[in-house]
Amino acid sequence: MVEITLILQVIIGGLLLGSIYALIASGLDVIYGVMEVINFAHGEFIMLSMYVSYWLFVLYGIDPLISLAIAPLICFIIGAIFQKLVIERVLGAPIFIQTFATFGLLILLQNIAMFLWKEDFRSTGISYGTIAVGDISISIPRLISSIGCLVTVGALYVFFSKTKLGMALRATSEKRDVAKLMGVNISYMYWLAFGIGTMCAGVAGVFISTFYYLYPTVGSVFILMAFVICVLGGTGNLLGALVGGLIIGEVEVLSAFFIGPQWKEVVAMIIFVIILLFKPSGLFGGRK
Amino acid sequence: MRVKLYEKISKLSSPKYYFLLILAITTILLPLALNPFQVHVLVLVYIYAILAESWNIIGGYSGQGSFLNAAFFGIAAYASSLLFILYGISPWIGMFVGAFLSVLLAIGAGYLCFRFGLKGHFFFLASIGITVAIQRAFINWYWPVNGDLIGGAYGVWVPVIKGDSLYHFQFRGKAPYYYIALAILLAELYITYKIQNSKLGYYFTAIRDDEDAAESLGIDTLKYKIVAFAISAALTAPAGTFYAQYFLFIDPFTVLTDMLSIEMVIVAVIGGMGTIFGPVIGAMILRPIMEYVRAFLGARSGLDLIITGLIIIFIATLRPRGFIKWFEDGYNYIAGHLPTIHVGGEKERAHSGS
Repeated sequence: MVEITLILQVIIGGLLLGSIYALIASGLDVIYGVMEVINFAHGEFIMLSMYVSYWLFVLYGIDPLISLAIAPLICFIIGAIFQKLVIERVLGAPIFIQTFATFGLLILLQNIAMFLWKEDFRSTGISYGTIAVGDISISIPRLISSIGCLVTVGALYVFFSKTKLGMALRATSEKRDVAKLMGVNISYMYWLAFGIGTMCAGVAGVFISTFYYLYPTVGSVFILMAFVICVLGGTGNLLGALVGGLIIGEVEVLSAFFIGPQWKEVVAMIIFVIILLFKPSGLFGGRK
Repeated sequence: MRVKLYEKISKLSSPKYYFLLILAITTILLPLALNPFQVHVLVLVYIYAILAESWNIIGGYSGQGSFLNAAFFGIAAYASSLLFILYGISPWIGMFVGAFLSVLLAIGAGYLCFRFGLKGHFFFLASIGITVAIQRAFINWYWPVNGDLIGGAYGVWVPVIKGDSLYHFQFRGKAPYYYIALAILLAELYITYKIQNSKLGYYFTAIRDDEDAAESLGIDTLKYKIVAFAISAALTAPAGTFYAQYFLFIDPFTVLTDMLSIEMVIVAVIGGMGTIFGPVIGAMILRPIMEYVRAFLGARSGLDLIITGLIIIFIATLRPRGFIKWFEDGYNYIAGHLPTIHVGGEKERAHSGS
């Protein structure tokens, strides 16, 4: 008989994890939704932002929550520059070449990190402590991270549905040519979208750095699940990313708990393939 | 008979042909002139050329960006190694068993994916998902041998045999591996050439260029995509067995990783996908750079892959068709500047042959 508090603890862990996934997947969704490019280097932006937050903390004692103002901005700039210099030139090429270009960025960023900071596992080693609710204990950095990620996803949602710029982005994602006719500067929208997407990864990275180890290939831990979530929720759909993130977070911790931690990815991948086969538009996907 | 032979010889007087002959002879004699490290680099070039060439069938010719090829590679590596360890079966037979299993996987996965109409990015992602699931399964899969467990995350060591043995596919020196890899590569180049110039090849490229149009012309696109996938799997498998016998160690993190699929794609695209020699050129450019940077700066410095990343971005941005055009131009330039050899005063014939 498994104790009920233990299961509750696991479920809460899943929600905390899932909300971080949701933000990462939202970033991928923004990029895919607006320009139909899968950013394989997304995980590397998480990694980059984790290192920025780590070094700011270790060298200057800046709390990771303060570097929230810095690391995502760096990610935004790198993402926007990459979009401007590389992706923009290959937008007309077969989809394959665009994906291929993001592989290049993946390998480049990962190995620059490898070159500069070696393969060591590092950790900021901050302890914000834990809070206890009854018999359930919740680690504070995870709680802050998950709330922060949810708030960011919410802010993105408001940005896309309420502001003029967000609406222009959505118009671009729906009908490129019509948006152009309506006076939307497509090229500007593209680099903005890529920047926002990588900025999401940056925000998630800062939060992750408060409780997780960092090493040059840490991005691959998150990117795979982010793909699963994007497909599950429907590509280019923020609400889908949020719900998908929470579902996958739960799937991951529950399968780790009941089947064994080594099988959690297999379960996620099986769900992934099943969704791809039977409903590639995802749970919330319309036609697009 | 005599005339035919004569015609063949007189063809050789044209630079286009004798230059090729010189290249071929050089390739065969290379291991005699190089040191073991250089031969090792060339063996790796051939392995990656084989992998990229086999990916080329599904990715380059048929336009389906597959990530499953790493799984074909790994399954063949595991099949031949495990059959050898558990039952003492020669890796050569294991190679065919591995190819058979890979083809089964390709048909199964291909049927699932293509039956449900997965295209472009979605096929990409589905094949990554399947590869990762297979990798995780192998990480947690152990086999009992004499009371010990092998496999799983520890990987599999292929038992070392004393001396050279063709039957056991193990040699002390590197030269035999060099010739075996070269033979496999040449066989695959020949197969690719045959496919490219057959009806099958035209079906593949028609599907790549416009699937709906191909379907409307009566091509059974589902069937031919699966056929392309199966051929790609069968061609990937020998490289898996070869890799296992060359390094004598395999584990899920090196032979079943999705990174390996990415590398196949990179090599094929850098050289020029959808062409016969593109993947070979890609491997010739990429592997030596990587191996030499690694040799000088250490295996994990990351600099080799930084250079690779830059090459990829460069190719994607400026030359999406790959390096092959430059190589063709270079070849034609050299061939154009070499003198024609006159055989037996048959000048006219020699010229018309060129």
